[in-house]
Amino acid sequence: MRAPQTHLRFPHTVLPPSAEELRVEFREFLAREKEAGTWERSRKSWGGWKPGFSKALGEAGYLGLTWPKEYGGGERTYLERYALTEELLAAGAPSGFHWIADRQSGPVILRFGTEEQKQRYLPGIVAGETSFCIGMSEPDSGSDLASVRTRAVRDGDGWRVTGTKIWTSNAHRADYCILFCRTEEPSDKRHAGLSQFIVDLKATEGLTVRPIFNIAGSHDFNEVVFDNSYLPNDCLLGEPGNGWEQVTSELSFERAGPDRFLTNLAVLSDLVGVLGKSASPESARAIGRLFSHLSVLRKASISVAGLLEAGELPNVESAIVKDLGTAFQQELPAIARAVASAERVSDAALLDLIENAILVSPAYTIQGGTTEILRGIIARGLRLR
Amino acid sequence: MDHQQIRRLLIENAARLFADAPDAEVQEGVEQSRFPQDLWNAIEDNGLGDALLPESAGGSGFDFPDALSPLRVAGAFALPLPLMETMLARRFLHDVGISAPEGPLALVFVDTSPTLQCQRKGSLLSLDGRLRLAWANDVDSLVVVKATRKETLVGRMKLKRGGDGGFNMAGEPCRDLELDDVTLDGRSSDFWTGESALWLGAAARTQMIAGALDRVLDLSIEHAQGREQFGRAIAKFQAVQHLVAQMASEVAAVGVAAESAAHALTRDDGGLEVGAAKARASEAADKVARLAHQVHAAIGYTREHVLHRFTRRLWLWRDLEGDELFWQERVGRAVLAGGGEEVWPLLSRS
Repeated sequence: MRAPQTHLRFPHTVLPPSAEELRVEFREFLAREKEAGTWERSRKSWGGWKPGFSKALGEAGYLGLTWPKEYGGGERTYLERYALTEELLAAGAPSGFHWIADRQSGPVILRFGTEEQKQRYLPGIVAGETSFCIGMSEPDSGSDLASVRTRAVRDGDGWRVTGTKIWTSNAHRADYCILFCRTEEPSDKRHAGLSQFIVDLKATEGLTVRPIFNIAGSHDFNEVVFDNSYLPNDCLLGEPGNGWEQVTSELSFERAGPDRFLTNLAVLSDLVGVLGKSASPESARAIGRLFSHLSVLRKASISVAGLLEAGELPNVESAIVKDLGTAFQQELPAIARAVASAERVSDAALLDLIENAILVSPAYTIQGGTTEILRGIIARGLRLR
Repeated sequence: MDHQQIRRLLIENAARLFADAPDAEVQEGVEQSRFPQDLWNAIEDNGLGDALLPESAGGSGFDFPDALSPLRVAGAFALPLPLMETMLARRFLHDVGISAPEGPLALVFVDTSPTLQCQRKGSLLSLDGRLRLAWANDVDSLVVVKATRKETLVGRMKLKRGGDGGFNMAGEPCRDLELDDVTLDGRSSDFWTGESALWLGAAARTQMIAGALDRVLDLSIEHAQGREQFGRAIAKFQAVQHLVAQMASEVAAVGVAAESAAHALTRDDGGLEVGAAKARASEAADKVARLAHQVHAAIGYTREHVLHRFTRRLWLWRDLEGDELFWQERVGRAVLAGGGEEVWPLLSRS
């Protein structure tokens, strides 16, 4: 028999000393700002919307951390940014205002935008003053993103766009939306003829934003309707027809990030805080099991981050981390509920936190690539399809 | 030679040595209590049994991650030999100045053996209970390890040949040793303080589990690609793809765990990471074994097919050097002791 042939690349990766130094500095920053009242732990974790906090991060140079200095970036490494990101998540700091802009809109503009677009949008993101949202999904296009029907046709110096986007988080309060749509008639090349536009949500006519409430009672999602809206040509991100390449690069880069397993860390921390040393052996084992999963998940995620920093495209590995991480995030409140029940916990704040965590948990295995899609990606990588 | 090259050479070398281990000839021989002597001799000639000893004592001089890496290969080849036990036992004996006899050794960590009680009376170890010992008729001695806070006590018990035996879960010949207040001289090592000796055991066993998982995933992919039903390979069915994808995720997690555990061994606070790794591996072992049998369907359930050589070892190894319950409780207590504010610092410190 020969050695096993399947190679899943998760090289042993440790965050460098510079990342740990940044972590220490950032923890101090967070503590100071918390003391000053700029932020508090958000029920929505990173999804909390707090422009003042995002601005403080921008002022302190923590946004656009890896971008070129000419656009206000910090030119730090991806792994250094990783340490900072996981600290934000672990603290449950409300990062909603800058999250999409800093994490994917900025990078996609940096990578595909014109010089004028970079100068126009990046400084505002770096300052923590400009927010972005994502206009990708449509009522009839979720997992099958290439099937989008929103259509932009040329009109003089610009474009006219008609169509509907859905699940657009924060479209009701963000400054810009990066709109993914068709700029050419569909052909037998599914991924051709797709483009992205940077839409000014406050200054575009024929645009209606309608709220969508989730089962937890939150308004984050929206439906965004474009009715023959005019978009100047300088809104087109990069080249027409380049949209598919743009979105796949956006989605793949953040698939395995720490937000896939740290979003509801507060449930574990608070449960541990309430239980203390008198927990039963069963409860201790449940906590230990959760911690063992998290410990390994974090290392796998850091490993993928290292590969991304080295310029690789670990599609299978990223899908694995998201699948495992989001499954963990779903399981955590379920286990916390059981432990709290067995231990007869009556701490109202904890029970409330667990209840809310259960309500928001279905989304984890749906947003950013459903588990079913991820398993298809993994299977393809293993040469099964 | 850079580090990656060293690791690759170690793995290739081990794969060459173990290549025939999963074959029916070897495995069925084991089922008839035939010790694979040629294979053992080749392993010894290669120096693998001494890999954890310092160079001055004939060892490899490699760090733990490299020195333990052949064990992952051993797992991937269903090596039916006490290589891991011998490697670790020789290291412990060396550290306490007890001479190691020639040949394979058995090893037990009393703290992770649920059927064994051990009382410490000064430097004496008093053992009571039962121990299932693989290859009891082919190993010279049983090395006993007891971890305490300040030191680790190591004793060596010469084994008598003969007596009724059976077979363990992996089909290896074994004997259930009944120990009735057996006293052993324990020698102390202050290198292995606290439970660090247990961590070595757990990390080594995690390597073997990781290797067996690597193999089981490979076999499952191969089977899915080759087996045809309804006019196509079963790999084309989404249901099968998703089973294998779940396996791959678990296998990946354990691979990460194994490597991180090996690296954590030299840290004073490495126990949390090692415990988490072994817990994760033991938990995954069963899940993946079951998924593999599901993918292989009927043919994988036969003695003739090679799959069970690996899945039965997964079911055996997950319980050795601390099952997932043991380590989950250890890890859980440590986390609970720190309180809620310490959860993230504990998680992020390594």
